[in-house]
Amino acid sequence: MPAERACLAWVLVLGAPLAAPAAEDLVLPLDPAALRDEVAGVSVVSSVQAAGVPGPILDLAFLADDRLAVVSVDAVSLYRRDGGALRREAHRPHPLPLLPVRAPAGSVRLVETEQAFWVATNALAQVHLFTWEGSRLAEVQQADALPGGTRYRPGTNVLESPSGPLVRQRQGLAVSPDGRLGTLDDGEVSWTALRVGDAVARPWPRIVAASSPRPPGTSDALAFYELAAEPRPLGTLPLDGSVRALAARRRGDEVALAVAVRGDSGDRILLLRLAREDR
Amino acid sequence: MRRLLGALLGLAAVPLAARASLGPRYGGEIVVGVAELVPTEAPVLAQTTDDRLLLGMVHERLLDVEPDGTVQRRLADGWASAADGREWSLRLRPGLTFHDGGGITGADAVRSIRRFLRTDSPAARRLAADLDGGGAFAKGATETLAGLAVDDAGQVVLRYRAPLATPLAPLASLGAAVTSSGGAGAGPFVPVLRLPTRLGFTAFAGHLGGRPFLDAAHVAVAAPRAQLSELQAGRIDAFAAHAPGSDPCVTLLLVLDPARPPFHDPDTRTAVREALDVQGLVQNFWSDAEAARGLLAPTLLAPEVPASPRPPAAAPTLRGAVILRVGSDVPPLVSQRVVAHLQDLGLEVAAAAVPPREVWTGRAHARLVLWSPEVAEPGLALQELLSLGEGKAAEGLLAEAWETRDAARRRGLLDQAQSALRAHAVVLPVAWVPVAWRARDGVQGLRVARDGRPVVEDAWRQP
Repeated sequence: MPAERACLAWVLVLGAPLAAPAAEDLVLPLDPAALRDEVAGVSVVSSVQAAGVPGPILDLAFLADDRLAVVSVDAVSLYRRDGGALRREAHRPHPLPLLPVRAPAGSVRLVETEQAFWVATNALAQVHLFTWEGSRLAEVQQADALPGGTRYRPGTNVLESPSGPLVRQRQGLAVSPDGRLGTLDDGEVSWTALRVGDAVARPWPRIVAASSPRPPGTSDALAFYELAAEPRPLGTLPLDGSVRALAARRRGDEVALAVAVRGDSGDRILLLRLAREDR
Repeated sequence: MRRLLGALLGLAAVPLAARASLGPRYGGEIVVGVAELVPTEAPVLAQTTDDRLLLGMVHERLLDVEPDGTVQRRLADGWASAADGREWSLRLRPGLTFHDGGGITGADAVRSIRRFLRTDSPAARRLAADLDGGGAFAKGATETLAGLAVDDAGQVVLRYRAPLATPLAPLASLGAAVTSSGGAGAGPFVPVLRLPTRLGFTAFAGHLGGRPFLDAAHVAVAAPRAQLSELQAGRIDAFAAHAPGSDPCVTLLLVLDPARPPFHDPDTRTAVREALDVQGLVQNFWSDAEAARGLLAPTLLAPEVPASPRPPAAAPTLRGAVILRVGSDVPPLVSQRVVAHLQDLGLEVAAAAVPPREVWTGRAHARLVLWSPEVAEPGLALQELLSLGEGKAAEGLLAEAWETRDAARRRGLLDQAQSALRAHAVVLPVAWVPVAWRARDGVQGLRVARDGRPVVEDAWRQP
């Protein structure tokens, strides 16, 4: 995306000020989370969770090993893992008025090589580009669509993309509106027969983590698959709540996986450290 | 050992979730079965559950009201009172449009309320009686209506003759829905097709709650007794049934005509009421329902004292031939049992099963009808029932309750009014009935509003 990078550089060169974040005093303790580890070839090294995260969370992404961008129905926030707590360092409410939507949806898309990310939600008429530096978060640009022309179909949670309609696009993975998992290669999607929920991440190149395709009223789980023409299930981690978004980041041999979970008492963020077994 | 126990407790503390990640998903279509089609898409008095379903798909009201009188925002997103509660201003949500693309304005709201005031709706009659100049306007004696205007800020201003307990409640009627000058609605679905037995709708992207999940919805006529087989055959995807799944919100009423013999005689009506074994009828013939302990479903006006089973009174002998009109949505076993009760009293009964909306029309001495109020607010609901018969005492109590803003005192007056209405034995409650959707696997999100209105706009198809 050279044009996009040029545009971002232009904004930075002109010295668009990184606005000081509003005073943030939201510190959420990270408590141990007990999980039943039943995933072949993947072990949970540690698991902690922060409850009471303002939500509903629509998407999240790792900006650094210890930083998360979180988009919720009404704001974009920057969180940092700070010892035994998750600290909200910056918080930018979405510009009003928001469009009425029956099922809120949102996407965070990282800009490679820059400390920046795009945010799109189906309640915003435009997509917004943010830069971050330390605990500072600044909106630097608005556009009609995400790079490549992807945008929400008005009023829906469906992303109109050059690859077709999607409900999620992340780390070379795509989820179709009917829940099929696909892999993206040069903008072309290869669809598998596997059905997943709306949340996906790719902790390792050949491993996919996905939310459950089960309908409401049944239990949810974080499912792991080995990518192949027909993905092979590796196992699941049952969760108390509904998985709304996933983000993964490699850290040496391990992977940090952030899971936004919606439960009866609100949203929480589960932070897992995963490792491969028997490689 | 302690560590092992701790680990086990840790696992036990992670219960399986009650919900999953799938959906809701946008797209797809649904076919809903109804007993009959509402004759027009224009806002009219909703008389049946199907009417409420259909009108709720096409139209949107300024506001909704909870049984406790709390007003909920719909097209109006704020209101304020002045003049000691005699004047109310409604502010419309900005940016909303009708199906035809026109913006919704205060002038549209005023025109719609004026139309509503001249309809045959109990809530409209109430509003007309309360608004300055409303009575004369409703009768067509004048085109002037001092109690309704748009102010300079585009707000709808209603001026009442006196401060009232729930002055805005009549506007929650589906008949008071706001339409454009061309008749377009602002509900979640746009009507695009009307055939004698089928209606077609597409999703309205500009709905105040957001675009519905479904791309399209179809409504097809299916006789109540055939709806389940139509569902199983795949010809319809869902239908609203009087079945468990919600709080009881519909009342099965036996309505006796006090203007016709033999029910013009209060003693005869009382004899019918006393002889009607409601407990036994429900227990033996309609297990999905609950023996009614009041005229209004408990979600509207909870009975204060649980009913104790009582044996049917010794039946006096009555004489005469009566016509009973029965809605076709009343289970046959139940209507047959009611007929048997009347026959046991000595009456000759000719029962006629008719489509639900036709129960109220045509000559009859009695009507057996599944009823839910035009507006789910107990004061208005009791006034609606009062309009079916007579009762000076109840009328006075209801008028007092309508003007009483103290909640506890108002509740007491409503209880007394209900007792007075029951004492007249014109409207006899038989059963409280829930409303629930029956749907094919994979149809999600169908729900029933608290007032018993089946709601389609949140439905979605599981892939």
